Amino acid sequence: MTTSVENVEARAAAFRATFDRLKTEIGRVFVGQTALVDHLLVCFFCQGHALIEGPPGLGKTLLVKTLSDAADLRFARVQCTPDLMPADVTGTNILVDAPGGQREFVFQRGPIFANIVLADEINRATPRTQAAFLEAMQERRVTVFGVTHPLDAPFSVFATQNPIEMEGTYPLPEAQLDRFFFKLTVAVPGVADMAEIMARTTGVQEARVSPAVDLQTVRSMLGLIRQVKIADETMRLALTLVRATHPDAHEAPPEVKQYVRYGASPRAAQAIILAAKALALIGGRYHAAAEDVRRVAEPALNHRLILNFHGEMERVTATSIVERVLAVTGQA
Amino acid sequence: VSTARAASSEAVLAIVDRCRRRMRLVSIVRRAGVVIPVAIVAVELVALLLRPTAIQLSAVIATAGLVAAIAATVPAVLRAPAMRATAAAIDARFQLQDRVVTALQLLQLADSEEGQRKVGGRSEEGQRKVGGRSEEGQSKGGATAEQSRGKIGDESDPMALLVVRDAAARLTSISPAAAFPFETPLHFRAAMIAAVIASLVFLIVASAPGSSWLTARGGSNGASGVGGGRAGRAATPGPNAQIVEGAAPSGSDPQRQPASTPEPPADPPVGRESTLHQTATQARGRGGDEAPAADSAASAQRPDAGSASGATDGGRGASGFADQTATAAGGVNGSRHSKPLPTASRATPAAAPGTAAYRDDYRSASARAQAAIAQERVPVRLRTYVKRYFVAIHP
Repeated sequence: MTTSVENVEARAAAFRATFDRLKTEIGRVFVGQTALVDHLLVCFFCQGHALIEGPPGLGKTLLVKTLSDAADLRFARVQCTPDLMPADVTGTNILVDAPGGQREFVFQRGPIFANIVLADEINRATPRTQAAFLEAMQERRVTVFGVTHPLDAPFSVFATQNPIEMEGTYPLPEAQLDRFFFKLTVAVPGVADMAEIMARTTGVQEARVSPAVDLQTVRSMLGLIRQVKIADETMRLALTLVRATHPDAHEAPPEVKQYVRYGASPRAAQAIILAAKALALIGGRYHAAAEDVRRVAEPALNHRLILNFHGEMERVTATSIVERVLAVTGQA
Repeated sequence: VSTARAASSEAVLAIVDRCRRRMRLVSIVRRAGVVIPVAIVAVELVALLLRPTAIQLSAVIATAGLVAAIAATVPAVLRAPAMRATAAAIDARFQLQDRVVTALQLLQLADSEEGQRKVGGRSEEGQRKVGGRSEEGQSKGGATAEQSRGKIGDESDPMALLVVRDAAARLTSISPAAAFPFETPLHFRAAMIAAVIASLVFLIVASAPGSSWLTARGGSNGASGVGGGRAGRAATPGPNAQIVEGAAPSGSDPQRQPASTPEPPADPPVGRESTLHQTATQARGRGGDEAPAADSAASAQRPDAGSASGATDGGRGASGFADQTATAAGGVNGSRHSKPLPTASRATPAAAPGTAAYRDDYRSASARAQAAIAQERVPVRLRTYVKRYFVAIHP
């Protein structure tokens, strides 16, 4: 890989072009929600995993499916149910007839071996099955019957969950929540967006997505993001934001001290900085700025805050806490 | 490529350093905006409380100016923003999205091993060395900075060069003066109001008629003269005022102005007149007795009498005028040759202007002066002065 200045410039330009193409292609199917799409693509290019939350019918699954179509990558969908087993996710050894009349165990890859995995309604799977995703998401490998199988890059898990129907669900444990790079919330579209959705989905013509990026391009972009520079001041802002989510930290605002039980982990800071770098490249810069950090702080932090009993009773949301942290941090 | 690389690094460092110096200057001016009014107030307070002489006042003003300059400059120099802080300020001012601060950090990271350690520790000295533009940087880290410029953007880290180049491109159009204009300090209005109020109080107090300090200043101004300023000293009559007083009644103070004292050479006409009319002792003696009150009143009331105006010549002229008019009023010469009045009568305070006693004294003295003029005992050239004198002290 050449690392000359011109080469880096070309790759950065290609990154921006690819991002824009992907966004355009997704926009053919998925209407509106530009911030959500931006964050999803940033998460994808950073090789992160995203938890997409929203009421039914808002296009969570459609969004991920469209991304996989536009990226022309291997896509797998796992519909999580209480009877879903870990082997259904990771794969298992099956007995097959070998040439010569013998039988042997062969590892049958599960859906986790795709580049983009959609874990639909992940909170309906049992904790045991949810745990099957843990190693894959963090270590990017799967161990079945003592044999470790690495996952191909890029690898991203996009899980969806419905916050309304909590009956018969298994809320994700904190450890697993922390493994998600972003938690994205799908909002109810406005009237204009809704009208556009109706026009596209109730008409004769069906919107189609054409592949905008291939595997090699995506792989080359992953390394480019990590080369983006970040100043100490900007990094300190990200770290201060994370630190301010801890109720025992002196940087924490009163709301955090009052309503938060546990703050965000260092993984949150990693996610913020990496995503800020990606945003910088998208913005045509070679360094991450404070505004990039602020833009990605909310999706990176809101699922990593664990509210205490008082916060839950008063229906305080993690998003409001993060907004307060953002408002306070950086003003002093 | 290396030339472009060095040019970008140079541009970033140069502009940041210029902005740093500009910020320091702005800080000095901003502090001066508060310190100078405070110094003005302090000088005026000192002048009002201590009533220094002109020389002392000059010393106070000079000291206050020096202290103000130090108070404005030293903190600004000591707290001068670091290169990183300057870069952050530039980013914030022009919304450069941390371009400059990132570029500066990359330039610092490319410094020597020592520089890298210092950057980690946020050492001010390290930042200055990397800046390479400041005085210390020039002396300590000039070569190091040159090396760092060579390292930036080498083949191992092209992204760093792109950041520096991007920052340099943005900075070329930036003028430090436009970026950091002079600003009104936070407490400027309060300081200016305090200074104006203090100045008004100073002027009012200083121009008050009974301001002994001002008359003292006048006296000092007139000190180089014959003593006209002293003649105007109403509250504390000086020795020369004795001449005026003595011109009429000084004979009442035999220790200071004995009757046998020859006429001072500064006023020869009076002396000559006195020799001509030395026989009129009785009336002149009374006139001499009353003249001091009138003279003192004239000194205190009239701006041109004594040195109330502070003018040397005015004081001297007034002194001569008072002297001559008192002489012409009929008591000067007579008093000198008449018997000295008892000390008790001299100690009797003169009637204050506007009182009935003053008016009586005035009528009596003016009648005598009129009579003296009518009898041609007053020289022709002095008659105008006599008339003006009585006009001036008219109740």
